[in-house]
Amino acid sequence: MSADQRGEREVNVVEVEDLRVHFSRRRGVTVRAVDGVSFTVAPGETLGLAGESGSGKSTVARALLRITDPAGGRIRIGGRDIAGLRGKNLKTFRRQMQMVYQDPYDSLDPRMKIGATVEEALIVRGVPARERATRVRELLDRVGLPSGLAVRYPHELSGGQRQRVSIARALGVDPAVIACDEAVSALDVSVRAQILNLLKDLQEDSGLAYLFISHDLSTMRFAADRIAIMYLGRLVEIGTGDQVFGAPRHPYTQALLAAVPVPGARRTGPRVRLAGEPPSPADPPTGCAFHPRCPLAEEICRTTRPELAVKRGGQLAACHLAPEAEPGPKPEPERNPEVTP
Amino acid sequence: MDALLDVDDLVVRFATPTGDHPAVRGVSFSVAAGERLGIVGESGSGKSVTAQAVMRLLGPAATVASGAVRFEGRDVLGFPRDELRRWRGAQAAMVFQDPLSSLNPLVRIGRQVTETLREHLGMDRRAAAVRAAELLAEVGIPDAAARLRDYPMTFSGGMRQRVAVAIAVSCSPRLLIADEPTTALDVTVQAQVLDLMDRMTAELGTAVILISHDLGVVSTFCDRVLVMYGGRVVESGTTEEIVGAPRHPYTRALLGSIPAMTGPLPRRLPSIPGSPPQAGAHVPGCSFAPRCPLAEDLCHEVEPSMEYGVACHVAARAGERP
Repeated sequence: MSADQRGEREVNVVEVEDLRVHFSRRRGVTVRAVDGVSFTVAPGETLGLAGESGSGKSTVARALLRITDPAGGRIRIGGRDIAGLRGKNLKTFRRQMQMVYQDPYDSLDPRMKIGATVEEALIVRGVPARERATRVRELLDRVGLPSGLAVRYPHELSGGQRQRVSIARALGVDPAVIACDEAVSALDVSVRAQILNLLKDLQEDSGLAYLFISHDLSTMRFAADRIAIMYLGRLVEIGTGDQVFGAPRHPYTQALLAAVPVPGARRTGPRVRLAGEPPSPADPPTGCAFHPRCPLAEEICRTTRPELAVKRGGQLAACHLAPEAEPGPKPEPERNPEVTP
Repeated sequence: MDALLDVDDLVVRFATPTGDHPAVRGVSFSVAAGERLGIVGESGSGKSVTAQAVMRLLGPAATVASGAVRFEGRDVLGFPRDELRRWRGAQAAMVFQDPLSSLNPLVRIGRQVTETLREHLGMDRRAAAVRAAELLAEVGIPDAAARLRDYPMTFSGGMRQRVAVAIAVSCSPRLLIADEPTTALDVTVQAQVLDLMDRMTAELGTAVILISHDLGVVSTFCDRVLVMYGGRVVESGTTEEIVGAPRHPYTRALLGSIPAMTGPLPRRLPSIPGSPPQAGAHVPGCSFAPRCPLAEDLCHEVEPSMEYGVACHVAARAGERP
């Protein structure tokens, strides 16, 4: 599909509106893994999706790739509603969006040479056989791998090299957006930085959009332009990196950021701002799902679910108690990171 | 002898189909009573193998080729089987990354806690059960007495790690080795488990060796830090020295490649080319030289020895820490 067919009227490459994903458990229990999530990703932009295990962040990505079927809501990728796509149309859509997983060892076929793995993506895209060898070399070169690795098997590569192969394979179909699901989490710290830099370089070269899913908030701060924080299937805060990291408005975001151990930050007291663990999505609390763990919770938090609304600083947060945006001219996004209590 | 634990020139070799490879190559350090030592390193650095060697938990392919491990002056590597059993659990305990690997999935939590108490402290069944409930309550397991009857699978990852910590400290050990104890946990739960380890070991005066790939975790917990690379200690110092004024190019690069949580960010992260050497893959000279921006001819030829807390030809030239 050429660039103009992707739809010029479409500003955002990903548009998600009120997405719901439900899982049925035994005894008729329905788990709302994703419960009314909306966001957009523009071309060339990285949206970070952060949250702890069970928050639903990976399920969002799986729904976007049509690995999991949503129970409700609308997903548009490249201007096209992807609900109900079947057969050839589904295949065509999958060329627009690719996924890079945490452990490249699990997602690469161990019996397939690196070159053949990357070539597969080119076959899917319909690249003629005579061009493919050259294109494989180009792709390996783009991700910083020597073309000699094409004849090697995944087990002969390091973890960082394998992740580069996964990225080359994803690039092979020329996607508009790549979902990176904990794509650097399993890598050694010194290798992680290389892959993060590579992802940025590729984005600058080609205007790729990323949905960057991670539990690691310092990685997220570097990688993402905007950050969405999930808790129990819902977005609790979304804004630019400066807004969310500099002046988080949701008490959960604040607790999450406070819990990150920073090298050299000498501790003066206990680390814990947040007791307990997230409740089960099968039996979410009433009102604000965060209220049982929230140090600020009031009566309204127990009874009424807060909707995302513009807060002071300009980001959206779903919290009854977060200070509202000042009325008047459009709020300026905060530039200077500051610590809020 | 002031040190609680003394590790002297430890060498651990792995037997592989392609021959014998050293995974730990001459590691020395000591831990004083009540002290907290962090060991930081990437995969293949030898940090976990060092811990396993100290605890005499090496797998069948690995052997201690040379060196000594002394605990209160006693030769741990020479302990006969029954002495080893008395020592492990009672005086030196270990917490692993995945508590499921130390907890038996088929045995109720209660029995796993009481087993240690009965074996090492000679408690009878009833006293052990009472103490087990107290311990679980202390580590923050709600409804502890009732949960003794549950199996590990019914606990969340964070709760299982709390149980593992409870078992580890149940006999008031003098040394606790924790190998990536919070790596599998969410960040808020990680904070809870670190607080718990803080509190339990401070109360008992237990010395801790915390092994982690995460300099953030180590620096908020430890008094002193060893940085390992390629089976050797490349830098050691107080936490302030290592984090505030790192001297080895590897330590510096490691710290530089972690994105800051506040302040301006670079467009590109400083990164180290290549990947860490795999355990056993060994080059002549300094293991870090192939990736080091400062490497000179000498670095590729002669392995630097530890001088002034750093094993680096270039850094050692600057002399002692300022």
